Amino acid sequence: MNSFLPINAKMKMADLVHLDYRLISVLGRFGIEFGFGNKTVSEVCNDYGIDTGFFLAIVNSYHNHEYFPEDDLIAFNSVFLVDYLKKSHNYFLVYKLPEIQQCIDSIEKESGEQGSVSIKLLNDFFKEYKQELILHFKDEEQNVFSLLLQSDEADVDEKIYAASANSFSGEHPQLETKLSDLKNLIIKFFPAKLSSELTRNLLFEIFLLEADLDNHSRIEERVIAPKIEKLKTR
Amino acid sequence: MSDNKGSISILVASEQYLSRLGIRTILSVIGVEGNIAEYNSAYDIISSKADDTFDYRIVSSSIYEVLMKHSQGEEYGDKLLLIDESQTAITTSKYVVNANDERTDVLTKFQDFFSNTASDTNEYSESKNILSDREVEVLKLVAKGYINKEISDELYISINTVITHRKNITEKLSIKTISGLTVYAMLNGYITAEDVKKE
Repeated sequence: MNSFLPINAKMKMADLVHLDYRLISVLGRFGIEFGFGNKTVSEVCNDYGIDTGFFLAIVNSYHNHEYFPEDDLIAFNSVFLVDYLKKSHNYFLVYKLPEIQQCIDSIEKESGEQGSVSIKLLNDFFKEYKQELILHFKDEEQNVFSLLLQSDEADVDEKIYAASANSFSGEHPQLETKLSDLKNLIIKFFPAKLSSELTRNLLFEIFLLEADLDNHSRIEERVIAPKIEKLKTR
Repeated sequence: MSDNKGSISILVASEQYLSRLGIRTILSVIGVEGNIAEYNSAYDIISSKADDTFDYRIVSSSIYEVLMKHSQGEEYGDKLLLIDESQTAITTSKYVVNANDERTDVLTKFQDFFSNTASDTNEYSESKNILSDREVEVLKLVAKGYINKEISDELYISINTVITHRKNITEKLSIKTISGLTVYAMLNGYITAEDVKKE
């Protein structure tokens, strides 16, 4: 199988997971459970009431960074997009962030006296980041997503435009920088005596989170933002 | 940061087509990708005036001699790989491939050329103390929550100097946010938790 070819509707859903295991988390966000046997992508999507075209656009953009069907995605109903993005938020809040928190807590527990100051500092730094991310998600859902859904009737374009600009071009880069700092603090400056399998796990988790968030932000910045731009000029 | 995604540019200069083709083949064998510009005479290089723009130069000894006569090429340093056809070339370059080198020698020399040059550009890798004393002073104040104006007053330096120090600190540490810098400062014992200014 050529891994550069886009994923299509006739492909078996199981093959999609073999092709790119990172899509496991995307399946989770769509609420698709395992055990799909030999069903194709479109059959599974039908079972779950998911728009196959939309599903394909999302998994392909995740699978291949170069492939980003901006125009297709913009054309999709806001309801699909917002639903997917909210599920992503939920995935980060309920699974990913607690997982990383748990990782750091375990390192702290294991480190004993001598390492406790360093790992505490790192823990505080992560908690600060986590709080900012949670607030950011909440703010997006309340001020951007919900308004986008109402925007067909209501005349709220100016407000939603300002909120989305703040959220996407203001907060996204800040949050990305912070996560990158966290990585570098561990990779470059973490005390060697604290390094263990737990630390390596932690780093893996952070890299995965970063990739996941990157894809998520890309949809917000390049699909939601232009949609809002369109509303503004309407 | 160092993950530069722009492709590298390579100058390949030899009078002989077969030689240039061979160099291209070796580059692809060792997995070096980039923009390759071929030249078959020293004069073409001089007249193109694009010489400074290359990251790496692979030059035959006869072309290199002509370049030297036109006082070009001295400053190539580690960025030069010389293909010595006659085994008589005089050069200061660390990297020389001889005409009668065997395949493995050639491949090793090419690989050394590209990897060593890459690591040489990392000027901070040697130093144990990553930051200079002055940069540590600035870092301490940044971590304590001082703004540029306050740092400038405290250390008797101009705001521009403060900004330059901050830029260098961020580049050396790969840490950009103030809270990240604060963690670094505390990890290294430059400041204590009590020093951090309360909002």
